[in-house]
Amino acid sequence: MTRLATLRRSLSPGSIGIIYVWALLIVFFSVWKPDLFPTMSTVRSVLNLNALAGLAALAILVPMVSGAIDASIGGNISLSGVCCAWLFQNTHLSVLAVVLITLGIGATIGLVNVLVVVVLKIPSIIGTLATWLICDSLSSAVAGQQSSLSPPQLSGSFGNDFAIASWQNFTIPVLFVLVLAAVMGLWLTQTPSGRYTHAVGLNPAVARNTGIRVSLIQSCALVVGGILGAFAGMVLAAQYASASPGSGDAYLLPAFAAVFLGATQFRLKRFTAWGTVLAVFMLATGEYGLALAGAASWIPNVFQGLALIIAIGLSRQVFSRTARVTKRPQQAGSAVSAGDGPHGTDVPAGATLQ
Amino acid sequence: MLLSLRGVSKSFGAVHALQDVDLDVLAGKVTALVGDNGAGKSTLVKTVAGTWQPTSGEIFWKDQRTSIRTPRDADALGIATVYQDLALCDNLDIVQNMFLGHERLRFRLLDENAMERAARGTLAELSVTTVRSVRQLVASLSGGQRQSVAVARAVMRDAQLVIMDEPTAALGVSQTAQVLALIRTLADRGIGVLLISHNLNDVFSVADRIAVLYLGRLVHSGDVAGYTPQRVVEIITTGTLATAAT
Repeated sequence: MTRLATLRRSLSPGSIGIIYVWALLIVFFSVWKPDLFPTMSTVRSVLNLNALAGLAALAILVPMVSGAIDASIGGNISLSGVCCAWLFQNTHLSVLAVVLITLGIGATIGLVNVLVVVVLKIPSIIGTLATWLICDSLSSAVAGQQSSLSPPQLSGSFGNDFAIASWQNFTIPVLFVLVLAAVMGLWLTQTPSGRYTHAVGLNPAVARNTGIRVSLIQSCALVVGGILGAFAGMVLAAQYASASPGSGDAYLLPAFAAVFLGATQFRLKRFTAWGTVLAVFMLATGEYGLALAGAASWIPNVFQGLALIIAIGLSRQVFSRTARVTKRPQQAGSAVSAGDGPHGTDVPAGATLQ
Repeated sequence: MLLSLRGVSKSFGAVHALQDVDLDVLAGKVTALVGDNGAGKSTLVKTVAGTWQPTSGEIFWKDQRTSIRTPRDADALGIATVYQDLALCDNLDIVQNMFLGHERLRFRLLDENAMERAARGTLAELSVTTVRSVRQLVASLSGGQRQSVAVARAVMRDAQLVIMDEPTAALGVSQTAQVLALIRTLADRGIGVLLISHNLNDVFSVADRIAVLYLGRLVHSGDVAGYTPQRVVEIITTGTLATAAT
């Protein structure tokens, strides 16, 4: 394949559709609200207000790549945020100690998910919905009678380091998202363990036959997801200088929407870090534009819901297409010649094997 | 003797899938393992591949007693199993599949160029010339090409025993010929091949030795020259050779 063809293919709408939809949204809202929308403050708002959604999405991305859906992220964010605030309120621990303990709580949630999904082999969507409920209830239990915990430390140096510090009015969580996406992208595409995680998620039986430790990799992925969820919980608590039970639930569905939408991007149609981040900010741009245009408050949620359906619809189509290609060798002889997928067309099978 | 099984049995509860099996696989020879459905062929393969543990009996690798507890153990010994449909990850490309679990690194990151060159080299060595690009996804390959890639993967790992589970079951005529030629190439390179097959045409065209399983017992084995397809069919279906004397 020539370099030009490769370039054309990687720039095609099928490959990076999110960028095109994003551009369309920007043009559309810029024309509709020329005075309000195309401004630096829009850029800042979209990034600053949605960095946390990006962190939540990246937190579920890791288990997702390994083939486990982690629905406990909502409860994890709530519980770790509330625990962090509770520790500031009721102990004299240093900021570092509180941060480490909170990350430990996230890791523990990840370990509970390991117990449910890997050890007990309960389907991850069901098992982690249960752990979500448990975490959510525990966050209420920790908060006790209070509807929210707002110890002053949440707006002190802790708040500054996790949410408030800014450069050119871009707050630090934006940096967290970009750095995390870069690290995760590098890990998933350029290291053996990243590749094994993909292999485990895509074909667990094959991965096991190859000698890859499937259970170990899935367990690590769930624990890493739990730790990142706790990190997101601390950022949320710092952003609001308060933590309340159930506050993380709102991040669950947008995170999944972003991860699935991100997986429809790029040539290989896999879960990717940058695809996920792009999807988060594309969806956010749409919502922000709708809000600027004065759309009723229910409309952005409808947009979000539709985006989720379309995203999963598109990625399911992508995945089922791969599945269909997979079945072909079962039919004898001219297996692949009738290909219609993006990577099914190339080989006139019977003829080439002479 | 590359691999020897002595008195290997495997039970699943009350079901005796394998009973007291003795089997020898020689380096540089193709040993065909035949038998009817449910005769225990898959169980035997999975026992050698490390998926299952034998209930009793001993496994010798190069005359040393060994135990194969996991697929990793098998891999470490130099045993590669090419499963009919679970050999390759569809959503990874040929190079990624060939190196899965044994990636080459440069500065602690994946060295894609080196892996691509080595994959091309191995495929060329085995005269696998039909794949258009080593960067295409395995999902886009034909059945014969998939088998070829899986075999090339084993060769690149310096596997000394390649177990092939029904390699031609889903293939057309020309692809079957291609895969059989590849099996012969493997044996000629000094690799031991254990070929599990239903197809006696394939067995008689490529195998050096033959072993017949019947209801979990290994009832006959020896040089393929000592058998005819008709006799093998009789052993497969009845477990004995009534016409042996004639």
